[in-house]
Amino acid sequence: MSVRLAVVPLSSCDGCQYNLLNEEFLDLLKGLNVKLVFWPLLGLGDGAETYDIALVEGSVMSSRDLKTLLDARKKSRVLVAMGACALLGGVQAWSSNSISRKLGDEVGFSRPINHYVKVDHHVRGCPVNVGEVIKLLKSLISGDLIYVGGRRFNYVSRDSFKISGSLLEIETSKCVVCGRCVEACSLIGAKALNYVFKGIQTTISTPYQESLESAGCVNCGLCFAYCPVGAISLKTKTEDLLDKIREGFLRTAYIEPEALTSLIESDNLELGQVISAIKQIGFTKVFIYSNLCEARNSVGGEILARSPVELSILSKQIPEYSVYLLTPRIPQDSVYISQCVSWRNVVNSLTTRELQLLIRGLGMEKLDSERPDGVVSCWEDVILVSGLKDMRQVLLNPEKPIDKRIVFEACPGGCLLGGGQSISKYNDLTKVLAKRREILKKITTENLIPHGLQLKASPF
Amino acid sequence: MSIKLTSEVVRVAGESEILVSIEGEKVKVEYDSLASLRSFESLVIGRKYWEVPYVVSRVCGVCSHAHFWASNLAMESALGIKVDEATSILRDVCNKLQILQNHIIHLGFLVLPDYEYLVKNDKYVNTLLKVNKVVNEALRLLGGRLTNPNVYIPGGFTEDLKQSVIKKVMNLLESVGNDLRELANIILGIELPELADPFPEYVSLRNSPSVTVPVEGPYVIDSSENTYIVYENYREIFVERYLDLSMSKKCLINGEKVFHTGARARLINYLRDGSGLSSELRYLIAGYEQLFKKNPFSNIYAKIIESLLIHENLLQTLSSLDTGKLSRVRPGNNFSGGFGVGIVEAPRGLLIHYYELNPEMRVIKADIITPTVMFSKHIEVSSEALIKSLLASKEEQNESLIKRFVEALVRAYDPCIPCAVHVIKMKR
Repeated sequence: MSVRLAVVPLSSCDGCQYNLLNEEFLDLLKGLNVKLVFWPLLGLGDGAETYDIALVEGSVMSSRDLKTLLDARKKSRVLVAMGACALLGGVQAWSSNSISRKLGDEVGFSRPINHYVKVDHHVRGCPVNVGEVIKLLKSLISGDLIYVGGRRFNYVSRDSFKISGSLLEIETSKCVVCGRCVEACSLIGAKALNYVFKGIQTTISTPYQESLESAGCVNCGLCFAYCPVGAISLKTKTEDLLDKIREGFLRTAYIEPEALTSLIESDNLELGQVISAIKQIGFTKVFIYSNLCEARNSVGGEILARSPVELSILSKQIPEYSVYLLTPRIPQDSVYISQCVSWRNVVNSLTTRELQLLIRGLGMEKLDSERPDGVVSCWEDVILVSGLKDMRQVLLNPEKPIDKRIVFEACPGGCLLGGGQSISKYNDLTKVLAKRREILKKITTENLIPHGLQLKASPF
Repeated sequence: MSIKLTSEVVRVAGESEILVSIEGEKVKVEYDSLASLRSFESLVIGRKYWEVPYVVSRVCGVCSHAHFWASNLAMESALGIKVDEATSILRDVCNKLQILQNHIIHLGFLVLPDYEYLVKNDKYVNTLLKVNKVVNEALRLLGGRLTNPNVYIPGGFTEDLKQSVIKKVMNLLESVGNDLRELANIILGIELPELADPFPEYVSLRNSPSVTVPVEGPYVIDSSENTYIVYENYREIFVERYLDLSMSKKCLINGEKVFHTGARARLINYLRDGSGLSSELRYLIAGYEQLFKKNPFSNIYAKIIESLLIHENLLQTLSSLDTGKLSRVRPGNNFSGGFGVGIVEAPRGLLIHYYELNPEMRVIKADIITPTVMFSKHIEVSSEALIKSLLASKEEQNESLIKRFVEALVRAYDPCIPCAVHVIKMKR
């Protein structure tokens, strides 16, 4: 199959075309198995329906030029702007008084071709260097990396796009390519996000810009947590949920101990103040509820996944263990305040970070201290495993504890550093984790258990 | 018989179309440019004198050397600069090389498919490619690059030229002498379509194909019937106007007579003086003189004969050229404004540049008349004659045949549309 080459002339001095008319170039075409299908200067034209490569010479100065250019773009796979006229408009672009516009032409002024169509590659110069054109053609045909002419200016602006899944949405126009989301995504083991395109066009996307779920996203929300510019956002907004609460449809709130911990740590609050703040938002009853208590139902050797994230990761990465998975039940007709973003898809759920912002909006000085209406907790006899790496080690260990209850938390660092957690004042995550662990221990041993509110079984 | 034809002529530089309408005995042909007007005359207004040649050479990538030279001549006579003889000769050499290159491209790529005899001849194509390569190389050596060279500036050249470069160019040219003669043998064997053209005037600079170089005006322009002394009166002699109901501007000599310029005109006029012409070539040109006057298709004969002539002249000129004498003259300090006209022979014929400068040496008025504008009326006239003779012949006529012949005729003229900045196609 020969490569079909077209040379398309627009308004110019034809110098670039005459530069190509030499033995060197024509010999090369033979050698590369290139077939010239369109070149009016040589009488080749019409008939050809598609071109593989179109070399466009000259700028667009009239509606006739525009028609020729649009036609060429439609027919060609790769369109190359050849020479200064096509690239920048040429000397004729200096003219400000356009006679052709006075004569009734709509276009009138000389414009570079990328003003009208997408340009794939370019060769600079007035006239072009034949060597550069040859180099470009060679690399286009052989599929090598293209470096001819370079890409000093961003002539080709790629339109920004949105990538959405069921829960999250990425707007590439806001992205600053810091790479935190890519790192987080590879840490959790999903590897849905990565860098795409080259040079100045680099951005974050899924492969071929497909939806997040089909790229392997598990809705952990870590990318959402670590994005510094808000390019990644939740699809369902906090306001929708708040409306329901204010209208009185949702009156009960269940808050996870981990969520409580991070609020206490990041905003220097007391446990009673957090409960009071949640009641001020519009809830009549607030329970502390840890879905770890579902582990009590396990007979042993089973794995409790703390959220839908762990379910999807385990069923993808270690599918042979998916039959041993236990899923926690979550209270319906109430609001579940959790450290995990993924519950948003299943129940009415608020993330800790959203709650943090709401509490900050209330004002810290207004907060009283109140006791929770009940506690559902279980802190005995479980092995907490966080991160896919640790999970692999535990599951694939031949001496694994069969009679122990295993709880899996997918986020690196466990639920204390989950995707929906509040923003800490410390940057160092190990420090944050240590601090939160300390607070969680304090809550569970000193605050909750002495109150005597611990229930024996799940209320649902 | 009533025929209406519109045809885009391919295999010419730029985009143009020819419109033919035949109604019974009446035949009307219009030749229009489809290229958009790039208005170079308005682009250079307000620019410094040394910028202008770089800009106007972009009028046409096919004959940029001629545009460089003409604009430099005009600038120099406006500024009162007199360049040395070596500079003039070197410019002339570059221009002649470009004429040679244009002729080769025309013979090799543009008219080739019109003559089956040439297409089948493998030797012809290979020889042409070889000559083309050599001439390109010579132009690259002298001009820095093939099209739009960057060595010219009013007053001289931007950089010194080594004598060894001249030696190289001479060696290159000597290597293709036999090839050119072979080409001539093949081309002069072609059978041309017959056509009796209404005799126009044939206009060219005096002794243009020879070694004589015009340094400054006034310029002596020979025609087959007259001799004109042209300087600031160029507008009175070469009059541009709208003719009949045609949409394009046409150029007529003295405002009334159709004229032709180019290779044929140069050869016809040169024969009258013929100084420095070898007897072999004189014999050759004299043999074809009547054909040149009568049949526009013979342009391809003229081109190859002129190529031989130029090749001979270039070798003579280069052997006596001393690059050590090249110098650059700068304009004086007290300049009080003025105008200048530059006329040279471009590959397709006379090229006129006119510039008016203000005391700051900036352009306040510019005018360019290119060869294609000059002979575009002649294309129409001879096409009409061709169609009439086709209709008069006994063989059966159809549209496609007429179209083929007319397109071949236009191609034989080798018009250059990017040059023809004046041929405006107005709103239809």
